[in-house]
Amino acid sequence: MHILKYCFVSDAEISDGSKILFKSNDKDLKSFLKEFYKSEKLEYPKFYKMDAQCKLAFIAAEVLFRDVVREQYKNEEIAMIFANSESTLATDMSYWESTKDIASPALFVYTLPNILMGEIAIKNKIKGENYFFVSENFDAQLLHQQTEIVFQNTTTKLVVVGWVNYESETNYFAKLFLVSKSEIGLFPFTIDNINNLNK
Amino acid sequence: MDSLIEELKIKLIEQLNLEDMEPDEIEADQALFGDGLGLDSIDALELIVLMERDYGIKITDPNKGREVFATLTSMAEYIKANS
Repeated sequence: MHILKYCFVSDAEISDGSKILFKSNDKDLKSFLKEFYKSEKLEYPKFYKMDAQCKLAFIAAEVLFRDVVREQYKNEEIAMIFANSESTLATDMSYWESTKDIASPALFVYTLPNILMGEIAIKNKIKGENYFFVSENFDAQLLHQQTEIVFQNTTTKLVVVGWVNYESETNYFAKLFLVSKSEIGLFPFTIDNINNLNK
Repeated sequence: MDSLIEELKIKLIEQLNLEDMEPDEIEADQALFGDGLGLDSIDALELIVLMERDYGIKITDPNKGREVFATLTSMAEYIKANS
């Protein structure tokens, strides 16, 4: 298993490991991601409807899939394995607030963490396996183990795997890897590299 | 009627997060769903909430909803007749 590409988003900065792709003075996540969305001329109006955690995952995935020859992989050969510690707590709270008046259907759909994989799947036409884990802390071993299982037991050739966690507009973190089953890539997909590759 | 349609355009953009759109870009007789504005099923639910919260109108019949939410003009007509 090898890492083809990776992406980090935190503190109003987007990097792909080798370089900082985008940096903003606006620390507020939604504003900063919108700034990036516009600067990249991305055209996906549904982006505006997503909650903050989905936007975070969506943008990180956009960076990962940039330059990837998507046609090399069938839709069913790409899997997603995500994890975080907050699940969708921030949106759960917003939804709870909305129920005091008339509950918001648009918020309700974001009260399950796997919705972010759905958004990425729709945009990138991914139809492979997908799992979302909630664990107390960043768990490289879990991500590595699950990726290995998916490669061993399915026809998956490519996995989008990582951590996407949103606590507040100034406290958020995404660390995503694009991992190939092949032995060619930037780095081997090891527990040490999952932990130690940082921006 | 025209002012109600203008009001609905602003509410639509705000409620449905159509951040890339300006009120002028939405035609009063443009289809809201399908090939028109491209709204989806969640948007339809949000429109039902909007009607109830902002105009005190409850829409419970799906067939009625289809008719009411066809265009901004049909929404405005229904609000005028029922509020």
